[in-house]
Amino acid sequence: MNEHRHIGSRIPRPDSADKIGGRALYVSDITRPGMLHGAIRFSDHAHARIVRVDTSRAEKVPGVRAVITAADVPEIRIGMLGDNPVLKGDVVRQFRDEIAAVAAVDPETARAAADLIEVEYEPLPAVFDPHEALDPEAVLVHETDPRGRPLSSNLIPLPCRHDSGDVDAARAASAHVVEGTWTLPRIQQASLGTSGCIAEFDLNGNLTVTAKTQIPFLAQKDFNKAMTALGLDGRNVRVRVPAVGGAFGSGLDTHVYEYVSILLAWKTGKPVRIVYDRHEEFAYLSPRQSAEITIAQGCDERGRLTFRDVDVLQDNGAYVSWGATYPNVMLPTATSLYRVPNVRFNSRIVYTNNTYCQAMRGYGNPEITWAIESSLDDLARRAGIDPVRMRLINCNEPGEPTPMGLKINTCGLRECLEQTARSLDGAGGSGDGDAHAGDSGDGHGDRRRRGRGISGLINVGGGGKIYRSDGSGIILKLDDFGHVNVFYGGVEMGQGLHSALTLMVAEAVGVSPDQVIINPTDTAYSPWDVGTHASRGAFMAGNAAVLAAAKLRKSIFARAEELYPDLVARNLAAMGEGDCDYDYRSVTADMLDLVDGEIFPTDAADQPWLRVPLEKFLRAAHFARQGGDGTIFIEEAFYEPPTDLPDWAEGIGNMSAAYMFGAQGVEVEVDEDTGEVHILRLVAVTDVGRVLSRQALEGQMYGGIVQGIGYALYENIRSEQGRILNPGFTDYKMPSAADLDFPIELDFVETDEPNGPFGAKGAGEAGMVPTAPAVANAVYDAIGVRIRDLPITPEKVLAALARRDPEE
Amino acid sequence: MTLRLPLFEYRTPTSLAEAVAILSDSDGGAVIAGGGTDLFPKMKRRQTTPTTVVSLSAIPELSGIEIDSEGNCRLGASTPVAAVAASELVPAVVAAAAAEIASPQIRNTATLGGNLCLDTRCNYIDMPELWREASGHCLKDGGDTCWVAPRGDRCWAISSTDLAPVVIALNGTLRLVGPRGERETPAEALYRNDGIDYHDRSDDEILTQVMLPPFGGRATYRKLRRRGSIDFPLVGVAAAAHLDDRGTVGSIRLVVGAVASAPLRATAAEEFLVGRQLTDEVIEEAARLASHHVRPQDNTDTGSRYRKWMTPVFVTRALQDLRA
Repeated sequence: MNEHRHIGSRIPRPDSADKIGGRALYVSDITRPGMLHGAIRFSDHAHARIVRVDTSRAEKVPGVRAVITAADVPEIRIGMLGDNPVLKGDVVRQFRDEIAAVAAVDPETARAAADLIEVEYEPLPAVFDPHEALDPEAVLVHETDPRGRPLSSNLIPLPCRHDSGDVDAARAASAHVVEGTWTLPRIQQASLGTSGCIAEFDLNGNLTVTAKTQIPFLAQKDFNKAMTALGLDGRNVRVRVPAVGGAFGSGLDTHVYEYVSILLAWKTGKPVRIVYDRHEEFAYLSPRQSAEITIAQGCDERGRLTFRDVDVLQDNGAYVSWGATYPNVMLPTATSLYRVPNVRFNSRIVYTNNTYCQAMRGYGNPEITWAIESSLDDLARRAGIDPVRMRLINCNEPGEPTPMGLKINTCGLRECLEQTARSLDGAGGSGDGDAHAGDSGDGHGDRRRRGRGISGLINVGGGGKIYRSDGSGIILKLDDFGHVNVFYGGVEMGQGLHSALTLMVAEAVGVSPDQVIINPTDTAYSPWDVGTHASRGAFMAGNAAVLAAAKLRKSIFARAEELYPDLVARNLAAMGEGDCDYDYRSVTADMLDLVDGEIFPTDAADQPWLRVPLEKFLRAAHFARQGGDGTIFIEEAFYEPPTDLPDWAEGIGNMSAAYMFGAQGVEVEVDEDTGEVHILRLVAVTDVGRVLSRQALEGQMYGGIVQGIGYALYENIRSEQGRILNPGFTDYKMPSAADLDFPIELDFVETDEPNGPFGAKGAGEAGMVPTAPAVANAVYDAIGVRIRDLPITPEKVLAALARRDPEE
Repeated sequence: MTLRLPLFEYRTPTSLAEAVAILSDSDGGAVIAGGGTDLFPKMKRRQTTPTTVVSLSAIPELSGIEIDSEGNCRLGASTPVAAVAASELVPAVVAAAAAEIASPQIRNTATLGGNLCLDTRCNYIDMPELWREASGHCLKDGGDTCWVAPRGDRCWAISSTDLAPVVIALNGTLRLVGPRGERETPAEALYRNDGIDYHDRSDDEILTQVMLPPFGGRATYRKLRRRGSIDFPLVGVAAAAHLDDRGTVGSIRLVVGAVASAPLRATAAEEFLVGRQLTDEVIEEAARLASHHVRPQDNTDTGSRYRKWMTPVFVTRALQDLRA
């Protein structure tokens, strides 16, 4: 099936050696001459008026170079709605609100001084529950909008709705209907590398920010606002991306700490670095937001879905970042996962005095999939239909339009579901809640029950248009030695983008992968890219690379028409050959090919003296003998996918150029004494269009699945009156290696997506999307109780068992 | 950058006498570090800000495991937890419990004495200073309110040592050395059910040795934790018993850890079990007796009711182990 030389291979990642060997430079490794360290003074209240800020003690600390408050610096308002002032002067609306900041000669001094800043507050009533926040009498988190116009509600004015067909009539006519409310907690991206940046100005007022970001170009635009505020309009902002130790969505917006670094650098004239420690990462960075999803689904007697009715309520927290657009990414799944003719989707997202939320892998899709796929199992049981069959009956097919208007070119969902179910069945042993005795030999195996569950998924696989451009540029520059230097604006943050891009450039240009050099992302020389998110990196980079490579090959072959005969003649001389039969002096551009760094005529590929190394050709072209007309090869391309920016109020639009599908199946063992859920095996079959870098793809899938298991069974940012109770790895429970002691079986379905580079679709988020409902469905299968609230903790399982067996 | 160590003096005395002298001269400003895996995070969070940290790592006689002429197993307090876990000289239950502490990296650094002297833990105290200041300092933090049980007047921080229940179940003795000389105490007597004053040990006393008498019976340790690695116990049950040929309990010591501010001897259950065979019915009643007075609070990552529910389950599992 694979006609490619490099696509689908398993070469090691180009970035892995330096990362493993400690050579890669993350923000925390980078220092600049004269660099100062910044620290932020955060709020002590969830909602309060600031009465007084006294920085006098902090200013007296030896080593402190600047202390700033809202009174000392121009106001900069950040966020999609501009509702978040960088330094808060009047009111704090969440515990992490930034009131003041310090720059000092070392991090300890900066921190100690920031702690000495005295803030006097007048506490205000606060609201932490999104339902209460919607009460007409509720405290307003924001009394005015950024322009000073009074607000009357905590509801954020970002409508996202859909209503197609006739949901009420379809519901009335359904043979079976299930309805329920499904909830998910706030969880953390928990990147290994914490957040940070270095801001520095040159003496002309140009700003360079070294930032852990996924959006260097949107960040550049955001930071221009700071430049305007500082009176530096028109000066340049350069954003450089160092090695990034994971981001998972946390780098999708600019953060207050970045503006604080800019302000401190501006104030002191020195580079200023802020790097969060783990506590700050947990307590002062935006997590994935919680969700409450009420869903009703129905089917006819034959199990065909009749309608889906979804109502989403989300707790945005105190300020609007991209987290507020989760419903936009729920919409494709709500309308288009399985064939459902009548769909209603309504969403509300509200301000509270909790921490404000941000993007994380899957961006609303794991949430809506949790509700749909769990509810679908309930519906299947209600209808007396096997859950896998239920899904197959309603399976999406290629080319079928969906209520949202998604154009699904390729769809491997049926194959993914069937193969996942087959693999799970192939396991043998018991299922369906059979008691499983005696495996542990410790005398209480009889209270363990096994069960299996499955879940499907749809995810954007060709970008996700939520901005006016969803495009990516690329520059391919050949050097004199046959290397292809790649300049791309997307971010390698550990996901393997550079692995996939290396293979695609090698394949598309015709060089070997080790001749491809991917350069660090830098707005100074990388072409524009909207950001690395929505599983779009490899898809966009690859499409841009294919366009640029075609131009590059055309230029090479055009120039080779002239230079090739002499180069072959030199070959023949070097090899001690006389003339040859082949008429190499009449070769034209269209007769030439370039494969693995050698130029040769396609009709005589096997004659060694006709093969000209690319680097020899490049030097011959560059250093032209007669002077004056040397040639170098640099080509660019900008790929804009054929998608629509949806009309969110109507919920219509083809937001992605491709859709990826998949299924996960899980077998669990539930201990009815302790409520513990132990996963025995997990099967994931995913339609990725085409495997690009097998190693990177498998890494992405394993990582996503483990995050999905964390979401399903462990993770939860607990808070009390807006204060986070578990801001560290001791108490924020991510699964440890010992909890992942089961096989994860991966397989891929290749549907050859016409819009994808080499047929590939984006795959970065997929692993996490269906894991939690698959686990919950397996738990139901094992013990007959339905957990509707993530994570599925032992305590919730036992409480549900107590309701199942009230007399026990 | 909130979590940085404060400045302090670091001392590495090479003899016990020197260590005692540093501690008694410091006027309470010096603290002992075993491996430091409990102490240093607390210092980063400013739960304690000692002027001097006294490492015991350079005192040779505090490290090592040996069997003395009377068959007692003597363990130096500075012995790494990993060495205890790997030792063939210690009773198997001690090695097994040690192997369930934290993670491999922490076990390499943490010491036996450090685990036995582990500070009590609570959601509200194990937080950075600014967090605690913003919420108002709790009783253990020098404040006047317990955030776990605001109407009460005591601290409910949890005894989270895995080894103390085991050492108590094996009737171990501890040796302590201080400026007033040396003393020995039953391990059980070291612990107080008070989250603040959880030790009967003065600041200048050093735990030097654990002595476990010869034990020919059956013993077990059952630990509940949220994850298979890293986590502190939510419930830990140690049991050590002598059974006769017919399985009748001749003697038993049953200790429940991590549900109070001290490891709790389940004496009512012990008395009930003596003279009985470990049938399912007997175990059920013993589990009830060992658990009914246990009152875990809502100060771990799980709700209090879960630990309450799990106490009899884990007592049952421990007693089933003895029967097996």
